[in-house]
Amino acid sequence: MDTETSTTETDIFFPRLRRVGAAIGRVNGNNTHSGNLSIRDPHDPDLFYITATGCQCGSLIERDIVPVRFSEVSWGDARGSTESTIHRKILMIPGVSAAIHAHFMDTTFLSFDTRDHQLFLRFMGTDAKGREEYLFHPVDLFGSFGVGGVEIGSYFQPVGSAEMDERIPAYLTDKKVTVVRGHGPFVRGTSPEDALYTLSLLDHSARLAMFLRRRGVDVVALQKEISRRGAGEFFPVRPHIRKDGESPVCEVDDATVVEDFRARLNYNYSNSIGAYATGSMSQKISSNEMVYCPASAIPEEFDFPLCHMTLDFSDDDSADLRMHKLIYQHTHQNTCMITTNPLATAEGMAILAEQYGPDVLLGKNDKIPYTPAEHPAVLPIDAEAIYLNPKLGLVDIQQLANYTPENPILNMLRWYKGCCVVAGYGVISTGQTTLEQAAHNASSAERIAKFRSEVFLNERLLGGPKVGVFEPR
Amino acid sequence: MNSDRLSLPPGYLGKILHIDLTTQKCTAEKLDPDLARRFFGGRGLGVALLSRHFLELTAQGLYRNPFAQVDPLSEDNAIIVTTSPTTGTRMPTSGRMHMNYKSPLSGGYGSTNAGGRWGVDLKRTGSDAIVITGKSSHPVYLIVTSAGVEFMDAGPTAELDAIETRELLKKESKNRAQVLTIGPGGKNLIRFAAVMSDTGKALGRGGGGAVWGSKNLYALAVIPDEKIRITVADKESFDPDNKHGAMYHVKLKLDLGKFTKSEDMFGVLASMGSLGILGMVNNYQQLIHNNMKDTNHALADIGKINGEALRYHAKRAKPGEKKITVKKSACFNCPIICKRQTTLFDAEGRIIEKGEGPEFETVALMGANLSIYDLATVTEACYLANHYGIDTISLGGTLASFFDLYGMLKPKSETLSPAEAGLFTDLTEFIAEHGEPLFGRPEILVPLTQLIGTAQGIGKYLAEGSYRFCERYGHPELSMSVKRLELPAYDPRTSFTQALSYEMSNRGGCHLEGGYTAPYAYCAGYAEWPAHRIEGTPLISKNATLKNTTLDVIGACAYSSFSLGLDEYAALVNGVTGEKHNSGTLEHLAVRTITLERMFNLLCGLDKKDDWLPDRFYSETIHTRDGDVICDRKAFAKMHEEYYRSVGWDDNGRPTLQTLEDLELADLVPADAAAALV
Repeated sequence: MDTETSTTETDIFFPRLRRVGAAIGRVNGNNTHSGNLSIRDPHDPDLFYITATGCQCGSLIERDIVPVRFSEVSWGDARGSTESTIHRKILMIPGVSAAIHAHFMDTTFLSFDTRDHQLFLRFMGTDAKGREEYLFHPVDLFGSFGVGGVEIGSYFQPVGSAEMDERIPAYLTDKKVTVVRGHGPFVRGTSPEDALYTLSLLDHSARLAMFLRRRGVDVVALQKEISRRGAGEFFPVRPHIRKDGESPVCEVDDATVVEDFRARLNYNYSNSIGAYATGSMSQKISSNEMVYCPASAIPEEFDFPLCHMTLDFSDDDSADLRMHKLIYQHTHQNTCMITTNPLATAEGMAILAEQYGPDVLLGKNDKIPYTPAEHPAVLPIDAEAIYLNPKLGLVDIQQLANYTPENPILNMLRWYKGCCVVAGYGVISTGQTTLEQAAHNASSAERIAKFRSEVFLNERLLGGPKVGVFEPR
Repeated sequence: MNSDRLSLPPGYLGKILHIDLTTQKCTAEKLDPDLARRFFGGRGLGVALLSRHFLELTAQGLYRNPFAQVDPLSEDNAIIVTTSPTTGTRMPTSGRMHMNYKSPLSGGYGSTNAGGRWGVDLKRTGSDAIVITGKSSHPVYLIVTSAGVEFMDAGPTAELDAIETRELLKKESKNRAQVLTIGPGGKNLIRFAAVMSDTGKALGRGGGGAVWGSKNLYALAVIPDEKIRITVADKESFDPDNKHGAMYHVKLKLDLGKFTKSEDMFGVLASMGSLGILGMVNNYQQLIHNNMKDTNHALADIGKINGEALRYHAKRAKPGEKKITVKKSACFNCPIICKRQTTLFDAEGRIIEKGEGPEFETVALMGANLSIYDLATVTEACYLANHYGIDTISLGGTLASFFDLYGMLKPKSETLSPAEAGLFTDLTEFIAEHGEPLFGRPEILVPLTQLIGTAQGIGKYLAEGSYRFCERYGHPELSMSVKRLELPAYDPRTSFTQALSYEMSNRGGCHLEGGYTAPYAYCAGYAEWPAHRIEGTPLISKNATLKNTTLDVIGACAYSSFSLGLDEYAALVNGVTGEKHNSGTLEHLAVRTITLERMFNLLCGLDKKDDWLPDRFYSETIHTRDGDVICDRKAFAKMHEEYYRSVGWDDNGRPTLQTLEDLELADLVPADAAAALV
């Protein structure tokens, strides 16, 4: 079959790629014209579709989707992205159906390390030609399980080069994502949405690691420990991980409820409160039932699952789901949202490390008191947040494994108007009325952390005032 | 070092060779550094020397306005062949040459460009350009060496075609010569005859081959002198490993460019040759069809004639079918490698013919535009055109107008005008032998090419080009041409920038000299120019004109411009000459060039009224995925004016006096003509 006959297939793939491209653009994962997306044709093993060279991935039009053959050159090779030869090889990896190259800022920013300056990455050595290789391991729960270790390669020619053709697919043979140093990530997936999930999650983990390092925590040491022990050993629980191929099912008939969830999901994604398809969100609707969404951040135009669920614990509950149930079982909160909140999470980790020593981030939490009189907290410094809530609760990640009524998270939510930062995990926000209340907490937490972090940097870089000057007394 | 070159930048040889065919004498003229500064080389230098020639005819008292009065097929026309300082250097695609003359097809400015390596070896005889005037009393071919010019009796080549002539002269020179030749097309004064280089590269457009034929000039061989070197100002700039040099960045961009990258990186031109773009042109519904009535092709048909079809022709051919095998070839110092040497086999596996091509434009005009989706037949006809030395774009365009005309008149057989009836009279013999001249009949393509190449039968009239042919039978509107030059492969309704560039092209309906904008449909994003917008289009089109003109002036190939911008070209030019060019100065050279070309046309009598596409594009809508599209005459009139103004011409498309002064063109325009300008 000639590629000219593929117009109909283009029509099929176009909406998916347009949606995913727009989702990346919405969080500035590309500039107006950078990045590229590809997808295999499930009906023709010799064909894939890729975005056109120089097109606007954030606002694709139908003609931007170009058919390209695996086996032989065709006109699509001229219209398709400069990196189409890399995509061709990535898509030939068994099980891979989609690939995305994007320029997420924080992911790329992390890669500006050198052998002599390992701020965020671990130097792993050089290849035979002297090109340096680094490793990044997310230090948060979602990133550790959702992405895992990421190899970062340096390249003599890091744009559209033959060495990229050769090395990037090799990196992706057994890893979901690799980063071209100073350029950006290449990711494979079982679908474009799966690839987006990895990209989004990695960028949140990168942002978290970057802010944490700037706040003085040795993230490389933390990464080494996670790698040494393995994520399963290091973290006390496992988060919900998006499973590709499951068509989202909406069990809720009330359109106003669905739209309420949709608004929060879209907001959280677009404002980087949560990484795509991570976290969770729920509303308690009766004494033993809630409406539950196993995500708290979904881009516009994406479908999402919404189901009814009892509040009884089940053996196969993820850590996130169990936390919703725990909260509803033991508090008067009616809504709950768990978001990755990279800045708030980093700030919480930094505060714990400052107050109780860096080992608290390695699971040694015995020094942390959780009494009404003494417990960790994140203090807002901006007036709007202080007006809302003079403190955010803060707990260490080990508390996620505590499913008793004594879990300090519950108290934090009671004491601090339904907002608690869990170091290394995210933010748990709740509301006694609607999802809107939980959403307010989640979005506020991220801004609180941003203000604190920037003032901290100003102090260190410019000799500005200390953060404490602005904390409420 | 030759002292003459002290005042010229490196890259020039410093000499213009004048050959008078009437007296069979040659003289050398020092290349005036000021002329070189103003026009640089290639097409710029060519139009300057051509204009100067016509001014001299006035000075000699032979004509009051030789531009208008000189018959293009008379001894007073001139042939100007030029190179650029970059020609033969390490600048990629530096093997190009340019030829200028008064066109027997348009009656105005004649201009054509080709690759290969002839231009390189001309420079290595010590000349930057050749000016050929007069007319030989008998057929001659010329051998140019560093020692001078030999005038050779072309009697032995009289019956030979273009490729046979080349082979003979190459053999006589012990394979040292590079040869330009004409074939029966030029000898028979076919108005779209080409001058051929190698086995299939053509100085094709506008009938330059007929000008050669009219002068009894059958071939022009150059034998390089190994001692003559082309110097450059900054050798290091051309070291591809020098990260600070021009070549490093240029190579990077060419290596990454979708069209220009290598075959192992799935580069389209390297893998499939120029025909590789046909699939894309069709995908964007630009590919002409049935004399440009529409752009609708069945996808399966396109699969028979696209680049993929040529690349895999032999592999895909079924037993009992003709097959084509393909080998790559390239012009001098070209990393793109878009040329294709092919061999056509018959059903039994015997070689029918070997040759060069077919190229994209050839297949578009002689295949898609005639509804002939048979690559073997198009290839065979392409070989024939190469032998005859005729331009395949005009050949295909003329045949398309012929089929269109016949199809239109046939149902009216009872009500034909005398002129219309003449077609059927002239066709009697052809129809008896070959059947009706209709679209979709591959079996008549080769016979018609033969008839045109030899100017026999209906071919005698077709050899006049589509406009004159259709005019003969009362329907010049069926000629899809601008300034009587047949249009190339992209339907103008699908790209208004391309439409405007066709109209504004000084040599007539052409995608290269007027600005090659159609491919910008494939670039996506901001590089994908608005197809149907009016506002701003004249300026986009003008910029495309300037870019393509610059390529012809500096001697670079249009395909390289898919990856390189004017800044990269400027860096290469500076590496050769040591000058300080930038994109702005190159554009200034281009404005000067097109303005002098425009003056040439105005003096020939071509003016604003000739800046229009055929009525078909303004009256017949085509249906595309983007909707129904048509050119709007009123909007185009407005665009014309804006285009004129953007290059310093008045609303009637005449350069203003101020523009001539600003561009330092006064000495190349007749004083009375200049005085008549605003």
